[in-house]
Amino acid sequence: MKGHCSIEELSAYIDGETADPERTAEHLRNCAACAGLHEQLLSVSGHVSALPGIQLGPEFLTRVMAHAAARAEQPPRWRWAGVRLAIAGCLAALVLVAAALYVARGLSSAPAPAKMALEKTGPALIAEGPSELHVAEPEEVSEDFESLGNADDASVDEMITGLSQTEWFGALAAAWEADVDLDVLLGSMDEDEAADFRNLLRDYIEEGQVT
Amino acid sequence: MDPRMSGMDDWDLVARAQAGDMGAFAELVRRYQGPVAKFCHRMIGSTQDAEEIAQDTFVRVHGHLRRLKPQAKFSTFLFGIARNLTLNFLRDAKRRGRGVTEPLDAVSSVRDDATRPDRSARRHEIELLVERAIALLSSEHREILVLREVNGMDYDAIAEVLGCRKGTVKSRLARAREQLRNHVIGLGGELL
Repeated sequence: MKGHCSIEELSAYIDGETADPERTAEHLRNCAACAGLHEQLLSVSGHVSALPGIQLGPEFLTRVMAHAAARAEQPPRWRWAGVRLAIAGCLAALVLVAAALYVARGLSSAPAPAKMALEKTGPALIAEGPSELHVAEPEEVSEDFESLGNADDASVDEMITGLSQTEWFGALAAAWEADVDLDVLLGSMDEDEAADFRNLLRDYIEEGQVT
Repeated sequence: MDPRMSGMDDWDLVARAQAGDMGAFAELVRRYQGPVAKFCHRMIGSTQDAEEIAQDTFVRVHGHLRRLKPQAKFSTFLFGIARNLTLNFLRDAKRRGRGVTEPLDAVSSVRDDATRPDRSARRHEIELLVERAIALLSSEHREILVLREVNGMDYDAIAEVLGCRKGTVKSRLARAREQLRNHVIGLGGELL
């Protein structure tokens, strides 16, 4: 071997993941610099592995089972079919708004990104349940949802703000050449519709973590 | 504890749990509570927070039981949830301006050093140093290092949990080790 081993090669050698470990071993026998670096990497890895672990008492299992049972007894927070209708209504309203703007502004054609975004997001949101979201949604949309965080820890308002800042929603709004944002959208709904829509977003975001 | 369950495959236990057998779910918790808690602990530093996140991980798994399908290793799914929860915790802690991964256990343990025999005190000193160095790593580097060194996962399993390619695991892990080495040296290299 000419030159020195890379850090990546030495790291993989430590884990037995090199294609030719004999070659690396031979080099280490003849190169003090690489041997020294290898020793250091091996040492820090060994120290990490040897760190004491957390000790869980028997009450941990008891707590998990109690919480799991309590959560299982909670009624569903929303009716999925009803929310599907709600989201379908919202998207239909958005399409109508877009169409009205399109006609009013005399645009020759809707920009292609709008169509793509709508095809990618709207139908998938309507057709797929939350458990299929990660699989069914385009990667960029899933990543947007994942980036919004944990629904349990963030307020709904924070999630709404986060969603309105996602690339796909921004692209959708921009392509429509309208100041479409979630506040406007929510403002156009009655109280029940807005509540359903917020719950839908919460569940999508929460479910988006399960991959 | 049903002794027959201890030898059962994870997905067989999941199937029984899906049918309402809480004993099967309890066996899954027993089987993985240690590894999941270790992962959370080394990611976060605080024992109490790690326990809560580990607990939440299993509760969420239970909540999603009926949707689970045996498409990959159960542990991959489990650690994926634990990872998301720890990253959320770290992000929220950062947002609140709270220092993360400060080994709370270690702070109290330092006071005990005077009563420890020399060798034990020396080992404890090294542990503290390594813990502090781990805390200085980015969460991306910390998680891959913990999955490898603490949980003992191979590159394929790590790639599945992190949702990346094996080649990425190889290069990221190397950078993580290099960073850890640099931090350890920066904090007191004579320990190496």
